[in-house]
Amino acid sequence: MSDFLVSLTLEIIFLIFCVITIIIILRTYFENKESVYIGLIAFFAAMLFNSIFRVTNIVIIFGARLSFSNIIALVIFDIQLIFFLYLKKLKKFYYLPIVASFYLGFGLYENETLIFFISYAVVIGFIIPVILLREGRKTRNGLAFGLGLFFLIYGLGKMLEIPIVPEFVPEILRIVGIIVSTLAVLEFFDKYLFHDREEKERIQSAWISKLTAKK
Amino acid sequence: MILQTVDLVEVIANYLGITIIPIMTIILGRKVILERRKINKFNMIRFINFCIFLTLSWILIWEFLYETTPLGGVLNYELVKSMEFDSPTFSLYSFGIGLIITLALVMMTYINRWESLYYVPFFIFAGMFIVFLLTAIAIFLIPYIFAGGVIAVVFLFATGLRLKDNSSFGLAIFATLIFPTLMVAEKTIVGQILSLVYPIFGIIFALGYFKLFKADVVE
Repeated sequence: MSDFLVSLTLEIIFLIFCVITIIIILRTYFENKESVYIGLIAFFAAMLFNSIFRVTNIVIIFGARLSFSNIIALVIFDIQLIFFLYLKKLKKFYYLPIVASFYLGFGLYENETLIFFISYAVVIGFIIPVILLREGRKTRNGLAFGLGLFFLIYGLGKMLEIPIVPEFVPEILRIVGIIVSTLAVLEFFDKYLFHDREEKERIQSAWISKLTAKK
Repeated sequence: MILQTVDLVEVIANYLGITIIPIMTIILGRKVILERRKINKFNMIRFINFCIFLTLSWILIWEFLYETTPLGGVLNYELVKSMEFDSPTFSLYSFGIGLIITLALVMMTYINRWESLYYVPFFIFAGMFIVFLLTAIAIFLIPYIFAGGVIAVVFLFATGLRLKDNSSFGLAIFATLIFPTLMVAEKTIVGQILSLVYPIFGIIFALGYFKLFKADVVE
């Protein structure tokens, strides 16, 4: 009973952070009108639905292995990959994740085997976050860096959902991940990690010299 | 009498197709290479056109070998020409038709400059083929060929008219002529007449004499 309460509490914390992240992204979208934020909203909405399914313990399976949680997982992988393609400006490949997911979903519907689904999950879950982290650091983009970190922590949490690891470890990793994502959309990494003091001082001194010149 | 006429026309159409379409492919290939040398740039539209005719030659060669030559008795129907509606499967013939549809859809996206959709038909077709290799299921093939064919022809006509582009308009007419002969009306008198007409139109198109609109669109 206490285990159930602990996991329920952790799930509710996850849900709250998920909602906060969606609200912040929505606010940013209305300010900037950039299409990347729509993808991010869809991503966190999928996470939210996944979490609700976990809390309510609803399992609906179509065909052999195609469940609602698998569909949501495919949506989550798609948006990760699309976000990466968008960041790298690989316009010709924007629809590849959607086509790939359709066939993976069909494979799950027809067959019992999970090998292709797991392979896709591992490739997306580890390679994309590492590239996002590297790109985010290189281009000093806090959103890309934060989301890369979130994908990595969240993916690690998913991978650790095995019997030998205590149950709360993956849950805590998921919550750490969602907190990181909330910080990323709040521009925490832009403000504090990639804060360029020299650039700021240069701008400030330019302003001071302008004011002095006017006087 | 009618049956004998249909058979005779079929034989003539087969020989005409097998002779003219590969010649058209060579003419188009030569044009692609010459243009590449002349302007030092690859004309993607012309290259896709060439690929479409190359695939068509592939289909017609297999069809000819299976239907007209004694090799028909040796070649496996499932491997060469199977195109069943009830139990669709990938054969050398249906793969070719699927590839032509894919290339026509790619051409449509290139002409309209829908950059994010350039490779989508390839992804769909490749996915279908991989699914077939892994599970022996090809249920999407026939709907893809029909839907893709209709979409490609309609868009090629529309684009040809809108941009006054001879290339896409000519290809649309060619596809309209050839599609019924490959898919449904092969054994009818209308199908056989179309089988005679499309190589004639094809050679006019490949030689560059099809100029419905005066100015050609430059990529």
